[in-house]
Amino acid sequence: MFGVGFLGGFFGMGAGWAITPVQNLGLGVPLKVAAANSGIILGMVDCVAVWPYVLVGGIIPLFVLPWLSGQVVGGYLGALVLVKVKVMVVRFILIGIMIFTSFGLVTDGLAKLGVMAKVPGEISLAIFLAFMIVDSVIIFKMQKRAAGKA
Amino acid sequence: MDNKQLPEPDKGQMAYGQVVHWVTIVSCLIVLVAPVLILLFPQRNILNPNLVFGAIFEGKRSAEIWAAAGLPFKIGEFWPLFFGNIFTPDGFAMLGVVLGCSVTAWALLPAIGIYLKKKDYFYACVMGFIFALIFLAMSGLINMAG
Repeated sequence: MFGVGFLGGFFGMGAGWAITPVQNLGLGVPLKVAAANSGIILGMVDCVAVWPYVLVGGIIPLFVLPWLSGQVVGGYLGALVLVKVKVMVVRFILIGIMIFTSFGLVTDGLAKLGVMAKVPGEISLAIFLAFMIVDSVIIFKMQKRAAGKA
Repeated sequence: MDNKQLPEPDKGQMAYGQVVHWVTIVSCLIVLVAPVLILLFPQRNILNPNLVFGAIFEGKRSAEIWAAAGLPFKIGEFWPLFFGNIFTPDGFAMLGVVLGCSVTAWALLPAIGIYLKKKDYFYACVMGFIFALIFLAMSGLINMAG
């Protein structure tokens, strides 16, 4: 838990990607409950973590406003969708996003070490879409198999 | 499952959720209106909006962006700057940001009250501790970035 909080503060908050799997795999909390819990935990943690940035002038009002409103609306819709979709779908989407995030962090780290060139944004986007397509195919096949069994 | 079989939600948690929900919506509305005001009344802004984006996309640091936009930011002077300019479009925008970034603190207060009323002191103390942390962060007493 301390590690997740540290990562959130260190990388500029947003440690939801770490809280949900840690709760699900480490503590055995059901996936949807873990996803909802992560929102509550993030709200509290980020309320503390954001203020050092605000107080040193790290937040430029005009630049953050579209982000804030967009993220609130997106978060609202995401929470509504979470209630409706099956756990398996949430799991595979989460796996896809985590693999893509790991890919981004590893390639970024290797680029900073000078091992490889920085991956251009277009290639990152293409890889993200490829992960999501593979995800969708797996989800579709599993749902078809589940429907066949029923 | 029949609705009658669902467990009754905890009042403290409901109060927390309701306050977070509505304050976030208010903050969201403010940040939607604020950019319009900023662009409609550019002469009333404390930061020149035309220079802000230029400085950001040039890759300048935050202190340089504030300075380039016409207002050098001094560390430790956020609150005087905020309250001194709250009636400008920039200040109104910052009100939305401040409200959104402190929503948990406002939501914890009624929840603490409910738990104290229920004599559930453990939860009240945990929430009080989190409230204190947020308050200290807002006041700048916990400020590792400085």
